[in-house]
Parts: sequence; C-alpha cells; structure tokens
Amino acid sequence: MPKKVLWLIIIFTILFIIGVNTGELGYLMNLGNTI
Amino acid sequence: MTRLRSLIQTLMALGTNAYLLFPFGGAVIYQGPLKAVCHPGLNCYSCPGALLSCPVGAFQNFMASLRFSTGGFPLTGAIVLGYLGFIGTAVGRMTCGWVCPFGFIQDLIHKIPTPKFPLWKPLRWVKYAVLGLMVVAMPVLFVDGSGLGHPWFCKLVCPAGTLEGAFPLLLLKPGLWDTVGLFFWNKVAVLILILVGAILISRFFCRVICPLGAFYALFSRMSLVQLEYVAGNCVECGACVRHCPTGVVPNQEFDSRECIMCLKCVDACHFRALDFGMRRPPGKPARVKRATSPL
Repeated sequence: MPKKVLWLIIIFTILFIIGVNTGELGYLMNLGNTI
Repeated sequence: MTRLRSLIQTLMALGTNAYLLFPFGGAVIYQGPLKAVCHPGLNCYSCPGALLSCPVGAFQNFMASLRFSTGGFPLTGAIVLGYLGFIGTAVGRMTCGWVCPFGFIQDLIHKIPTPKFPLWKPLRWVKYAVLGLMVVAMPVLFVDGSGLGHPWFCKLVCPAGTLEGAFPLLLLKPGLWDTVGLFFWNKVAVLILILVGAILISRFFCRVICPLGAFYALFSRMSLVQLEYVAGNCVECGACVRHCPTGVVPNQEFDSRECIMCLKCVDACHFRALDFGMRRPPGKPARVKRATSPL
C-alpha cells in the first residue's frame, strides 16, 4: 500500500473521530428537524 | 461483471431506501438512529424511504451552521469529511459506479432508445465549481441575521432531492403543496434538464454537476484501488473507449478523475490490457498478463 494512502486513511479516521467527539453525530440525527 | 454491478446498484438503492412505514406513522420520513450514518452516494435525506443521511446535504448543513454560534465547540462537518475522505481514499469514484442510487437511475434512463451524444469535455470542470461554491462557500458566506446559512445545492439544484424527496412527499402529504414556491419549480426545471441530459449523454449529472463525484474525483489518483493499464497487451482496438460511460480513453488517461470504475472497459477488453486491483507503490510496474483470444 502506498504511504500516501496510509496517511490519508489515518487523517480521515482522526477527522471522523473528532467529529464524533464534538457532538456532530447528534447534529446529524437531528437534521430532520431542520430540513 | 456488469450483472454483478447492476445487482449491487439495485440492492444499494432499495436497501438504503427500505423504510416502508412512511404511509402509516405520524412522521413521513424516517428519523431513527441510522440517519446518523451518511449514504456513500447521492441519496436524498428527505426521501420517505431513506434510512441514511445524504452526505452532501449533511455537509452543507454543517457549513451553514458554522457561523451560527451556540456557545459550544463549532461543528465543522469533520464527521462527514472524515467519512467521505475515508471512502474516497479506499475506493475513489468506484462509489459512483457501484453504489450511488442517482447514478443507477441515470444508468437506467440512459437505456431509453434515443440518439446518444458525447459530452463536451470542458463541462467536466463545472462539478468542482459546484462543490466549492454551492456546497462549501455559499452556505458559509450567505447567512441570515442570526448567522445561519442555507444548503444552496439542495435548494437550487439537487435533482435527487426533487425526484426522491419532494415528489414522493408531495404525493404522500398533499398539504405540502401550500408550501411550494419558486425554489420548487426551479428545481423541477433543473430535474427535467438533468434527466433529459442523462437520457442523451451517459452519466450526464455525474460528469458535469455532481459535487459528491467531484469530491471523490480528488482521490482518483491516490485511492487504494485503481484501474491498471498494461500497455504491452493493448492493441488500440478502442473497445474500452466505446464501452466507457464517462468518456474516458483508458490508454491515454491513466487514473482519470472521470473514471467511475464500473469495469465495463475491463469486460470489453479481450486482450487483458486493463485490469482492476490494488494500487502499487510508485515505481513498481504493472503485471503483464497473457492476452486471451478475442475470437
């Protein structure tokens, strides 16, 4: 696996974890109230 | 391979729009825990059957609320960006070719027997402008007095929203006709243009307008999987070009951002000049395989 791919996967996984831990999951679930 | 792809496209389109209780309960659209997950393709959040969120709609809503202060940590859409970036890095635009419901709709309506036309190639750049302007910039820049923006792509363009969301909702809840205004009729006109475009030009929306396709295209040259071209096997018969739904010339455009990895070209090539597999580290040559006889 090229190193660039590995780094990108790590970066996007970290971004996802940041999103989960800053409450974005709850925001996503409540989108139905605004759409 | 074509049958397998059609099967997966059908299963994804039906499976992710499998909420069948909408005619009964109080709420018309599903709002359960699965809505915390985004669909990897373009599929409207407001489709009465949709079990998952639309990634483009969700990201726009994050951007739209960026300047709306709630006192807490600003919500930047990192969860959607991380999710889509992960998918893009893993499979690139293969998502468009294999799992996107709106891509599947376009594949189906393109089978309608009419004269077919090629796409004027510079139009392919429009989708990057749509991504940058309508999905990222406009929701952040154009805000109301409270600092809240709008999902402009959903409001002005998204044909999946009109077809999968607005029409079924208006059918199920006729009272909603009272809320219909200029934005709706604008989107109906856009939808008609896009559907006619998709009948005449293969994957018209994916190639010209789709911001999700534009995002995944950014990863086409670095995704984990790739379409491999074995120059030694190619006899330049042009079979791959004739079968490509996005107008790619595989022996000239390596790792094209337009390639949705539908693998029609791999099926069409009798000389095994095209193959699909994991990306090799730079400098490592492609495998040369023995060609099979086309006869």
